Amino acid sequence: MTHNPLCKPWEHRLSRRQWLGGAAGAAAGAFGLGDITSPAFAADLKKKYKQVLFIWLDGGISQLESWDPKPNTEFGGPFRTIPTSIPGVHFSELLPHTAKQMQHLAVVRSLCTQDDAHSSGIERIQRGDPKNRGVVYPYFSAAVTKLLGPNDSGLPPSVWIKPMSGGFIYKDAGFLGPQYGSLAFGDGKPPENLLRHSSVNDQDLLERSQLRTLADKRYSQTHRAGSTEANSFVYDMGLELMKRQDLFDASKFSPRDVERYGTHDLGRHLLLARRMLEAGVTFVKVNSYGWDSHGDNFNGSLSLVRKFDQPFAAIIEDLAATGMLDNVLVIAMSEFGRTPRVNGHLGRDHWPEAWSLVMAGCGVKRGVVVGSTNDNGTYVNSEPYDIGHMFHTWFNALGINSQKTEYNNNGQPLPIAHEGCHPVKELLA
Amino acid sequence: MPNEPPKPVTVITTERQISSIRFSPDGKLLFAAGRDGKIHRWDLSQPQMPVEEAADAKKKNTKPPEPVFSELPSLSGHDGWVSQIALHPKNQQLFSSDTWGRLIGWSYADETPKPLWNVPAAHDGWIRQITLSADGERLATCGLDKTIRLWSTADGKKLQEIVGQGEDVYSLAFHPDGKSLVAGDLKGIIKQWDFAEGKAVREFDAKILYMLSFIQDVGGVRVLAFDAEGKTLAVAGAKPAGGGFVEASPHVKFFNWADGAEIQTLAVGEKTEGFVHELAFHPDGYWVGVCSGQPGRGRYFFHRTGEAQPFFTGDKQMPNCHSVALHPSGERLAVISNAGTSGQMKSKAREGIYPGNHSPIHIFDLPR
Repeated sequence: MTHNPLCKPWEHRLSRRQWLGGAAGAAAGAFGLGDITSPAFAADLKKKYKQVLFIWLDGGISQLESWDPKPNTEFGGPFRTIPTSIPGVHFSELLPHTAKQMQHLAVVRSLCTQDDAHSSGIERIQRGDPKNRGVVYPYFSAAVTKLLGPNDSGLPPSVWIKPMSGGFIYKDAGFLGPQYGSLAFGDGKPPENLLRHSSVNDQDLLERSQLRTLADKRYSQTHRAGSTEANSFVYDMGLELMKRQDLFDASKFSPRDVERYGTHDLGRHLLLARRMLEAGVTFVKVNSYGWDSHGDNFNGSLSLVRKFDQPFAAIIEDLAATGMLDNVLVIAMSEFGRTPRVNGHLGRDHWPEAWSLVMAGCGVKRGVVVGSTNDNGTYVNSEPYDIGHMFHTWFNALGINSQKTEYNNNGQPLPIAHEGCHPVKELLA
Repeated sequence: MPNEPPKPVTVITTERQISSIRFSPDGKLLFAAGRDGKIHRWDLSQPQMPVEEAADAKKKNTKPPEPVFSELPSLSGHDGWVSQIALHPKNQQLFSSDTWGRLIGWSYADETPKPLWNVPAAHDGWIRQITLSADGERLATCGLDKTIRLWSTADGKKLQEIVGQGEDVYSLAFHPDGKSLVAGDLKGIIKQWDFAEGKAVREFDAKILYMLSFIQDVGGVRVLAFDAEGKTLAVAGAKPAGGGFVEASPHVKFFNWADGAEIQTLAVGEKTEGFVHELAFHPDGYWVGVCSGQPGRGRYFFHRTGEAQPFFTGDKQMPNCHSVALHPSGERLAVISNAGTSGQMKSKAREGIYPGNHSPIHIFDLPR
């Protein structure tokens, strides 16, 4: 018997046992925690599941039109600032809803990173820009699902809600292996053909599943176990998602929430993200595209930042109100900021020298601003933080000791974050 | 149509970027709305000719030096960017708005202009456009707060507020007969407002000037202008091809005012040439417009309604033109472009060197 040519085992290496192990709350080792050389934190993690909401504003949000405004200065642009719920902290006027949630937020205004190109910058940022050791590091999503291990939701550990197409995005996992990739819901929709065909009833489905199990058993007698388990995993994931079709049913959202989050893509996707978090998905990434405002930046920011502001404030408010913010780490960022200089197209170009991000929730100090830039916003005038500092900080916020924990890449110990950086203590609760 | 191409007179240098420029009705002064929150002024009545350079040029039989116009002290009182300026057609009065919502009326009868009145919150935020009625008695403003307001130019009192445009209102123009006002918005809708009744009486469709790209609203009716007799309405902006970077081709739509019929949709350039930022109607019967590129260089152009293409486009060495002003005589033209640096230039920033861009003002004579 030959391998099924339609199935590439490396795409599905997360085993049925691992998947069900997560669903059953099995031992940490079942999901690969045994690959972590210092897993002393595992027992603590099990006490309360940690989750992450990672909002990626692709192209580069302007820090000057958001978190670090410089009104009435040479590069300050046309907009006013507004006070936030924390006295003395001001945002751009384009963030009126978020300003009211500042008591839950931590803003970093002193990012200084290394890459000013999208193609390389996105990867460097989302992989934490570690030292080059000849391996491809995992994206933060894969790192988190690896390091936190499974929970009992039965849902995919990492999902990605994004415009355009979906699918299983395995490349994000780097050396951890494709099983730590993300299942992407293109345009916030479930995978194609998820719904059971109307001609298949419950009994039919049961019988088909039993037949499949028998076929798997027979297949596994002549093939390596991983292949069979990978196939089974795909079906199990499909079955679990079929049981949770309600997650994608927009009619189940309250009209008030739909209004609060907004009916545009980012609003719909963040509302779906909230539902995924509530259902127990460990890592939810939400992408928004079109932030690369080299031209007409100010009119662009009027539209983009305000459409971010509304659902971002809503989800922070909701997570705080339900207590989920204690266990969900929220991060909103881009691959870099934008130049203070306004170019001839009334745009701002790429600027990794001095930019900002915002975070909230699990393990993060609330209502703080860390770091600063000079009066014109052209450079950082406090300790500059690279993305490695943020990775250390985020891991520690999730209860993972970033300076003692290592990956075990087939015997090669690898730090989980750049060893030249450190957690930013001012950000940690 | 001009007998020959515009003849360069001089280039006025500025330290910062400029939003808009206007000549005074007597043609002796040039005003500029600065993105430094100031109104800049130049005296055009007594150009200085560098004597030594002139003699040197004569001796060497080279191009004579350019005249230098004296810069007068700038006017302060605005925040953010000065977004627009308008000159009273008869009185020596200037009106200015900013992106924080302030509206100021000035008298420039004296050497040092003085504020006549000052409305700090004329709008909630960015005032996009201000325009004067032909008699100079009323000033109309519009902005981000989706409202249109009419003001008395004499004392700055609000006369009327019009709501109902529905979107961010980008542009305004009074019809020359003084009875109507047109306003254009983000989504490419132009409404004709009967301000006596306070209601919209007609709509023009310029939806090609708008698109939704992912979550970004791109475009908007950036310019509304009438010809001298009010027979043609020009509606301008860009036909967007995408958001973020914002690629867009500059477009102008011309409408017959009498029956609302579209006369022409003019594509001024490719999708790299950006937005038409301003249009002015020359007394000889053609339009003068400017656009800035994204990522192209933009241009200034002359166009006669109905012809297939602009009959003149300016030198591409003048990139990213953001404003144009016609001298009252029709014999002079001012265009602002952009100069400086694009891109990151981070190594220089680390050394503390980080210059901003600025807007050279190009003065041309228009042979008639």
